[in-house]
Amino acid sequence: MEAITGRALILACSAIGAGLAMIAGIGPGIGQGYAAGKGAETVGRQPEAEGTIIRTMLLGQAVAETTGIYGLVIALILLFANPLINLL
Amino acid sequence: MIKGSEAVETVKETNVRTLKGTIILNVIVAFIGYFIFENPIAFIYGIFFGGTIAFLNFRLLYLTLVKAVRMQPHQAQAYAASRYMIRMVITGIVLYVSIKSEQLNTIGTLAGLFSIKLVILKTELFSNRQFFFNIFKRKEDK
Repeated sequence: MEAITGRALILACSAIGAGLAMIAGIGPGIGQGYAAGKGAETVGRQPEAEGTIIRTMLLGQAVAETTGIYGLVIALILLFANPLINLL
Repeated sequence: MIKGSEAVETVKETNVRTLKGTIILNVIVAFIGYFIFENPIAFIYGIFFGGTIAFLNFRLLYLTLVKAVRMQPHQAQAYAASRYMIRMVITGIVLYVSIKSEQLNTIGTLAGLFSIKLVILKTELFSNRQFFFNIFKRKEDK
């Protein structure tokens, strides 16, 4: 049986790490959906406040997305520009 | 009562203000990066690329929300979440291209992508100076 090389081990662990990092992308999606649902509910109840609701949701959701992008950046760096391989 | 068109105008003003802020921040970061990085042109291209995509994503978010608030709540939930996934894929493609390309600096692209968030935080959340002065005051003194 062939022994596992250090490079193969790093690549395998990086792939697992990238998958784990992408869990960060789920939260903002659920949150944005929930906020949009509540926003739709509120606009139905109070149509004159539509502009204010959209503005507040827009700014809040744009910032909330940041954590998802952090996870995405970590995952892509681990997959395509892995700095750990150079340490071997 | 505010009419719908007037209210949307306010959102448009927010969009324009955010765009202006993003451009100013990106120019400042590009100027600083010009003296720090070995290949400043790649950094500037990266900032331009990331900043443009960040603003287009912001615009896509705005269009999504305008459509979502006129739907049924359960439909709006699914619609907003599915659109979020599309924006995430776009950001992923942008980052992948930036990592693989020689002409684009990845740090520059990241700076461009996050610039819009910093502008929003600065203009909407940390705009009130009095708030920071009041942090160290007792409740009775306020």
